[in-house]
Amino acid sequence: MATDEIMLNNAAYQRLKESIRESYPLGWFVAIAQNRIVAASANFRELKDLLRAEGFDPRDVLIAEAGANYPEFVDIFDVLSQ
Amino acid sequence: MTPSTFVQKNLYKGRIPRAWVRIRLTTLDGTSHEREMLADTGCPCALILGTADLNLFAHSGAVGVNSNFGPLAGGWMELQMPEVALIQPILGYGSDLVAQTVGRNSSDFSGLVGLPLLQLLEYGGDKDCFWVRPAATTP
Repeated sequence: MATDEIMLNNAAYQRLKESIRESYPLGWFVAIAQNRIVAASANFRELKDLLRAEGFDPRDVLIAEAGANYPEFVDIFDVLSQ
Repeated sequence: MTPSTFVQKNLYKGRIPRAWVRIRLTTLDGTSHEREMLADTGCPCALILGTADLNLFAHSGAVGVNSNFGPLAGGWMELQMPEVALIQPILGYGSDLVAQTVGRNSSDFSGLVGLPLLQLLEYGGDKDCFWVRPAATTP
């Protein structure tokens, strides 16, 4: 996926996340592309099939889990740099 | 008689001996590949690989995250580890800096797995090795 597309999809997710939380059951997989929700399913593999049927390459689509709290920042411990 | 349960036991490995697990991920064409991953219960990400591996294994994009190692690109990958009852999508991230840092400890390591992945299993260790096995089913 192109960096621009990643940024656009991430920005669209930030705009849509409350609507996703309110509109989809917890744990559903929701696909975002072209600045909108393009498909959703309770099953990840089924969602990939739906996307392909709609002409999307799943790799160009951002998939988010409804109700998930994605952190904006994570600390990876310094144990790695010892 | 108790049925036998698969246990993946791995001797600590690396310049500074570390716990690690062997995972199996599938590419888009369904081919499985193994990777050895440092196990870090302090890591809040399920899985962090180098960006080449993220591109190889990501079945879709996912929400990215910033970190003290810089931005991590997100991707949904598919675990294919029936021996420990893990056949499922998993949210992972790509960072060459993390992969290189982990690789300095042992060149066998492709990245690290954190608590969200380890919580899908039972895990533990002793003076010689770290082990994972399928999560116990609740009666």
